[in-house]
Formats: sequence, C-alpha cells, structure tokens
Amino acid sequence: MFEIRMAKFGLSMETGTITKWYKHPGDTVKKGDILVQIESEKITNDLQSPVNGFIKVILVNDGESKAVGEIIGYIAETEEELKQENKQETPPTPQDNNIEEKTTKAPIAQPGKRGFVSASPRAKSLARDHSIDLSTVQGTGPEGRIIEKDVLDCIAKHTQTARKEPLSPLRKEIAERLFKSYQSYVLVTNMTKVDMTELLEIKKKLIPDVSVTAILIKCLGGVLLKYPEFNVHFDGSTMEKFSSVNIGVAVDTGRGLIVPVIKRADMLSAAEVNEQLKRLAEYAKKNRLRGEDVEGSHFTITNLGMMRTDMFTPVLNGQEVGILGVGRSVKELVVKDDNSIAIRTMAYFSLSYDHRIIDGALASIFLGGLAEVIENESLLKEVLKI
Amino acid sequence: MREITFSEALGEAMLEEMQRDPTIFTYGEDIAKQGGIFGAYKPILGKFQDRILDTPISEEVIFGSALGASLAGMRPVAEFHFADFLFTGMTAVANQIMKFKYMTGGQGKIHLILRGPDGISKSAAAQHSESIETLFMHIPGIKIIVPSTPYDMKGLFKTALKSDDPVICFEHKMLYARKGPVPEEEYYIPFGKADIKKEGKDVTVVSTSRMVHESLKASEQLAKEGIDVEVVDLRTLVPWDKETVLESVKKTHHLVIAHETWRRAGWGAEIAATVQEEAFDYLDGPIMRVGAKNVHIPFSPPLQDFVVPDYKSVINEVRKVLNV
Amino acid sequence: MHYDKGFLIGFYRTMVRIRNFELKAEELFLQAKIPGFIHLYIGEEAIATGAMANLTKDDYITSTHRGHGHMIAKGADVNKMMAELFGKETGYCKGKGGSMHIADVSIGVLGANGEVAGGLPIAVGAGMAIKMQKRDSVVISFFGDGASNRGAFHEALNWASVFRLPVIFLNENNQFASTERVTETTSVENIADRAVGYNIPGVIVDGNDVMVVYAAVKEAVDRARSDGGPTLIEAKTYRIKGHFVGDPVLYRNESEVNEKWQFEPISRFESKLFEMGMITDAEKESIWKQAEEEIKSAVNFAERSKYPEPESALKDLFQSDTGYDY
Repeated sequence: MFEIRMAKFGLSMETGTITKWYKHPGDTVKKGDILVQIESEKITNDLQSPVNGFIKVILVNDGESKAVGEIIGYIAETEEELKQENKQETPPTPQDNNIEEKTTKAPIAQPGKRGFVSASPRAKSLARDHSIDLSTVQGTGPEGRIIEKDVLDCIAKHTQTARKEPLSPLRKEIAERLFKSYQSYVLVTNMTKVDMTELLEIKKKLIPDVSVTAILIKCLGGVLLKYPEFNVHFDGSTMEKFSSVNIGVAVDTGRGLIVPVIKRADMLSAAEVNEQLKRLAEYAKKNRLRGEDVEGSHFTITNLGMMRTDMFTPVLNGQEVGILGVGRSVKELVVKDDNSIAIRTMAYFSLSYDHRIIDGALASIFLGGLAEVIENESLLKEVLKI
Repeated sequence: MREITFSEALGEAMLEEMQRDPTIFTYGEDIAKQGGIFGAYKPILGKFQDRILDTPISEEVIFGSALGASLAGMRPVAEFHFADFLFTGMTAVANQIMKFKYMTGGQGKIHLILRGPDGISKSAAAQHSESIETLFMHIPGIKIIVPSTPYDMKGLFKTALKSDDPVICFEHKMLYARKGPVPEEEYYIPFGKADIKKEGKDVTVVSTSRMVHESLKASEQLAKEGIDVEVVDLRTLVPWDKETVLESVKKTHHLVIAHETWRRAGWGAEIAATVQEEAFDYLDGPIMRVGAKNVHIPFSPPLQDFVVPDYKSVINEVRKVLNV
Repeated sequence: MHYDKGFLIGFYRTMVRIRNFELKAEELFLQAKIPGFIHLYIGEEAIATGAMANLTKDDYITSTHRGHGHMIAKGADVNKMMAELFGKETGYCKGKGGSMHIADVSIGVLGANGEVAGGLPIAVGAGMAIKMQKRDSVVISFFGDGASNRGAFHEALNWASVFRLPVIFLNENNQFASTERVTETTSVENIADRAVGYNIPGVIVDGNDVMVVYAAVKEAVDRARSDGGPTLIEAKTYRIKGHFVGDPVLYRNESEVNEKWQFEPISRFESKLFEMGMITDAEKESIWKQAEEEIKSAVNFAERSKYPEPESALKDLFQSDTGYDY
C-alpha cells in the first residue's frame, strides 16, 4: 500500500490545499499519472504518482487542506490490496483517536466520529474569542463533541509554553547587578576593524600554545599603560587611578557570565597570562573561583571571536570605564594603500566606554593605539616580549 | 424566625387582606365549614360572614361568576377543588376570564383569583393528580403563581389579592403541611421575580413547586460528587423571570428544567427554547428537561413512582448535561 | 296600565333605531365593508327594548352573539358600535372584539358573547357581587333557546336560586339555534317550564309585544330588587333573518318567514300606537328619518376612523403586563 502524502513543493511550504483530485477511488494509476493538484501559499503544483496501482481511498477532499507530509490518500499496489477491507478509515497519526485516553501530545485536526467538527455553542464562542481553530481541538464530550473544557485545555496548553520560570540564584544575581550597573553610566561604543593577520602569524610561529585572548590581554596591558585614563574606576564623582593593570576576562561558564581577573597583566609574560587564563577559565567552569579571583579588575576584555558576532556593544564591568569586545576573525579582501589587494584576517574591536569621563576622541585614539600594536609585527613582539 | 406551614401561610394571607379589603370574598366546594379540603382557610373561618361561601358543584359558574363578580366590583377568590376540575369549568376560564379584557379592548376590572391544589399525592390517580399549569401559560390572559415554600405562598398570594389582573394559583397538595420560615411582618412578593434557592456554578436547575424541593435534594447529593448545582425557583410562570434564568445559564453554561407536569410540551420546553434563543453561545451542552412520563398518573404506588419525577430524575438529567 | 306618550314613543324610537342599525349592518356586510360575522336582531327588537326600559345604568346585562339590540337598548353609542363592527380603533373594543364581543362595561353591558350561554355564569357573578355589596341593582342575562340546553344554563339557574340572586334570566326563544329548530333539540315545549326544576318563577310572554315584555320584566326586576330572587322569562319570538348574514338558510322556506313577518314587533307596536292615537304619520316618518340619519352618521364616523396600529394588538391583555413576553 502506497501512502500519498502532501508534498512539499517549496522550501517554506507548510500546508497545501487540494484544488482537484484527478483520480478517484478505484481508478487505475500508472507511474507518472497526475493524481491531484495542490495549491500552497505561493504556487500550484501537480502531484504525480510514483507507483502503479489503483486509488484505494482518498482522505482529503477538494478544497481541504493538510500539513506537508500528512497522508492524503492511499494507492493499492495490487488488486488484492484494493479488495482488502478498509480497516482504518483514518490514517495512522502520532496521536491515538481514542477519546478516553488523555494525552499531552500536540493535538491534530480530527473530524471526529461525526465527520464534522462538533462543538457546543459555548466551546465555539470561546474558541472564537481566543482565535483557536476548532479543528485542532480534541473533543471529550459525547460522540467527540468539543466542549468548553476542551477549549480551555487548549488555551492553557498554549499559555503553558510561555510558562513562567524563576531564575536560578546565579542568573538572578547577574541580572540584577547588570541592570543596576547599566543605569549608572553613559555607554558609548566605538568600533573598528583590526587586521589580525600578523598576530595570528606570530602566534602560529612563535607561541602556538598561547591563546589569542592571552595575546590580546598583553596588548591591552601595554596600551592601558599608555592611556591611563582607561585604567581607572569611576563612581560618578571620584576617579580611582591605578598604577598596575588588572584585566578582567569575560568567561561563559555555561551557567552564566563570570569575569575572573588577570592581575598585573602588564608585568606578566604572554605565557604566564596564558597559564593564568587557562586556570581561571577552568575554575570558572567548575565553579571553583575564589573571591579574589574575580575582584580588582580595572579593564575588561570580552572575546566573542569564536562565535558568530562581528560588532557588539559590551557593557562595562563594575566601576570600570572601558571594556574591549573582540568579534569574529574573518578572511577578507583588503585594499592596501597602493591599491593592491590582499587577503587578510580581520576582526572588529568594539570598545565600550563611560562617556561621562571618556570622550569619543580619546576612545578612538585608544582603539587606534591598540590596533597599531596588533597590526605591527615588531610592536607586537615587543609587547609580548618575544 | 417563626415557622408555619404552607397552608397556614395561605390562610394568613387571606386573613390579612380580607381584613383590609371588604371586597375580597372566597367561595368553592367544601370551604365554609372545614376551611377547604386541606384546611387552608381555617384562619378565616367564622371571621367574615357571607364572604366565605360553599357552592354547588357547578364549576362553569364557580369560575364564570368570578368574572361577573369582579366586573361588578368585588374581588373573588374562587377555589377549584382540584386542578383537574379546572377542565370541568374550563370554558369559563379560557373563553371568558382569560379573554374578556382583551376582547373588550381593556374594559372592566378583572381582579380575581382562581386557586386550589394540584399535583400528586398518595395514589389519588389520574383525575386528582394533575399538574396543568402549562395550559395557562400557553393560552394568554391569566397570571400564574406556583409557590414552593410558605414564605413564597404568603407573599405571592398577598400580591395576587392586590392585583388588577386575573391570577391562578397552583398549590401543590404535598406542600400544604410543609413548614418554613415566615416573618411576622407583612410583605409582598412581586410576580416575575425568581428566587435562587441555592447558588451554584456548574449547572442551573430551573424548577417550581414540589420539584424545587426535589431539585434541592438532588443538589445535596450531587454536591458530594463535586457538582455545584444552582437551583432557580421561578415562583411565577406568567410572567416568568427570564433575566434571572439567562444570567444563571451564562454563569453555569448548563441547564436542566424540572417540573412535575408531563415532559412533552410542558412549560419547560418554553424555557428551554427561550434560553437557547437568547443564550445560545453560552451553552456547553443541550438543555434537558425533567417531567412526568407522557401517560396519566397511575394509581398503584410503584406505577406512580415510575411516572412522576423526583430528585433521582433531576440527578440523571444533570449527569447527562454535564456528561459525567 | 297607563303609559304616557313620551314613554311609548321611546319604545318605538328604540326599536326603530335597532332596526335601522341592523339593516345597515346587513347592507354593509353584503357590500363586504365589514369583516367577520354579524348576527342580526331583526324581528326581535321588542325584547331588548321592553326589558331595558326597566333598567338604569347601575344595572347589568349579559348579552349574546346577537347583541346589537341589547347594546342599543341599554343606551350604547351607535358611533362606537359601528366603528367596532368596522374594526376601527374608535370602536368600543378598539377593534379587538368585533360584533360578537362588543361591550360597554361603563353602562353595565358585561359583553356580548361568542359562546352560547357564556354570559349566564357572568351574570350570576354580578348578582353575587350586588348582593354582597347590598345594592339594589339587578342583572338581566339574555340567552337563546339553544343556550337553555347547555350545562351553564342549568348550573346558573340552580345557583341563582340557591343564593337568591337578583338575576333575571331572559330567554329569547326565536325558534332557531343556528340551523336547528328548538322543537328538535329541546325536551320541553316551553323553556320557561324548566323554571320549576330550579324552584324559581317561570314566565312566558309574547316576545314581539314590547309592552308585554316590559310588564313581565318589570315584575321580575321588582322581585329581584326586593331580594325575591331570580326569575326565568321566556320571550317567544322568531328569527326573521338567517343565523348570520350570509346564512343560506337551507333549513326553512321563505313562506314560513313571510308568514312570521306579519307578527314582527315594530309594525305591531306601530299599529297600536296609531290605534291609541299616540303617533302621527309625520312623527313616524320623522322617527324613521332620524334613525336613518343617526345610523348613516355612525357609518360615516366608522369609515372616517382609523384602523388601530398593528402594535396595539399587544395591549389590553392585562391591566399591568410588566415582565410579560409578547
């Protein structure tokens, strides 16, 4: 027995409407015969038979609709199959048509015992008010009649998917802290594309075990010394200046974002930064960070380079006045000054800063300074001490 | 509050109104000496000479004369011995009393009451057990009161004694001895106001007379199963309180009508048709009716019990309507 | 007994008025100008006239389907009567009753009645009320020979007798109950013979002699007013016309009618008046003319009047219809 299913004629097609059956129960069918014309939102198409046989039964009539993939009829492939008693008038569906059984699976349009959708006036008016399609409601009343309770259950189910769920304590704390913080400063983000090719070359050749983030932390460390206006805490009225550079590194623990701190990043070597970074990240994921591991950050880096993000507007961490967001590295065609073309690996750097005390020009200069180091082989080697 | 019987409540109503209004007089068979076959008139016996009369067994004149007496300035209260015997003088009621005011374009004052016992008792059989209030709802021209408690009996009857229209009062014979709270002070109950005897939220049961008590009994049992029944006592059939019934159905979405008279073409059908007309979208199930089976009331007790509805019949229909 | 001219001419005038009204009603009906049924009182005018002369406005009557004569004799307004026959809103019953249910409760007419003997119980009730109110009013209940075979007749006479009510049961035996002769359906030759069965006086009079009717009814009225109880009076007459206008009258022949017409009340009384010198030709003519004018004017009134508004059909069922669903 061959199942005639509603065909998917278009990528976005979800339902099809039978415009006209060309074959009827009992008719002989040859491979390639057009069985039925189907209309979807965008197009009308003919469905051809892939088998020889006889039309056994048609389940969906002219003018009726069915979801793509649903069975709309059967072709008996042999004479015996054709003569066979129709044990099942309705196609096997994921949901049992037994009215007594109450399942929580998704309801499917069933015509019920009577062949039309039987619903009490109350059920109909309730369905109308809530824009519920009665053909999607399972009836538990006499003879499969849809009664008020059934429609109410349907409504509840729909709202159940948007059930309220309380946050975990960690998430709650993150959310609250973030909200409070975000309201206390003026966030502006400057973005620029940075040529990462040199950095990646050096990493590959000389320090393959050191992560890009660690390298960037080292670069940041140097630049922050040069532009100490970014290496401060600001509470809205007083600035606290620091002499060393502690860099917070945003880490996704799987349970939420945490920012462990690489202390005195300016003093450490790239390898040491890398070591610390690895350890902190691991501890973070295992929820073994201590209080001092996440305190004392002066400036934060958040690297989304492994993900599908180019530019973004990270928010500041605590009382810091700057945060560097690093986007995806993408190979691009770049036009050089001499109009020659090269393939370079580029990434967006998004510098968010507190505009109350850092103005746009300074931010641009900072970004420029950072980019300069990263894009220059010798400057980079100098910062990395290699 | 003091408790008196249904029958005493009727007697009190008569006493109070007859004291105040000298044009009220009452007559019928077997009332002047023993105060009626159920003794309802005991409170007025001996108090109003000439205003309580025993009559010959002449129903057409008992009822027809009420019309004449009213037109000539009195307020007659004519007793029909048993509701079944309304038929004996039916032409005077249906062709004369109920039509006079309308045919004459509104002439004359027709303040009269026809009253008497109806319904089943202990094997009184077919000609002494009928409930025929439906007829008087179907034919226009008379108001109908069907009290179920002593409180309602007194209040409705006092209103009837002041009404300027003909009123027919059906007193279920099995309710006469039933006691209930009745205040000492005078009060009147207007026609066309139902009384919710029990509030509920799952199903509305509309009822009158003895079936109100059966419905309340049914609701007690159903409460044990978690079914909350609202019992609406119509109290009057012409006019009937459509608003209260509709409001109740809009709340519960289910309706059962329970009356002792025959189910087929009983007044329950009128309520059912009206509710589905005006509250169609609120119904979550068909409207069911409880009534006597469509035969006459038989003599032998097991036969009578089979034919006549009771609280079990109400429970059955409620279950059908709620599909439980 | 001596009666003065005015009194006698009054009888004549009333009978002529009734005759004119009935003839005009017949004419209008045959011209299809009035709907429904009408039952003519032609040839029976003496009964209503003679009887009603004994009554005042405080006395009551119940009438029959053949009731125009009763209404006119009791003093009804022929304009409103005619308008009612036409079904106009200015009619006595605002167009709701028609000929068979015409009534004027304000002058004591407790309705014509479409039900044979329907008025008898009503008359009895009025009698009860009168007695309870200790008034000296009376009730005359008109009914035909056919009605005397109905249960209501027997119940009413028995009841009125038992309670000694001031009711005069005035039987208009016009020999026919629709198509049936009284001799075919009634177990006694004289309906008044039944009075003995109820222990009340029974009197037979020539219904076509207005004076005789007057006298008999006077006696009965006096008896009633003095708490002497009811009387049954049988006024023998003849129904000249068919049962209703349009009746093909297949149950008797013209010759019988023509013969009976000899004894019709108006011409008989007229002869007597002339005999007694109580009337002149000119007076006669003037009375007839006046009656004609009166009736013609009534027809004008009726024709000019409006039909009632359709929605008015929903009024007058009750005095107070709060909560009633139409």
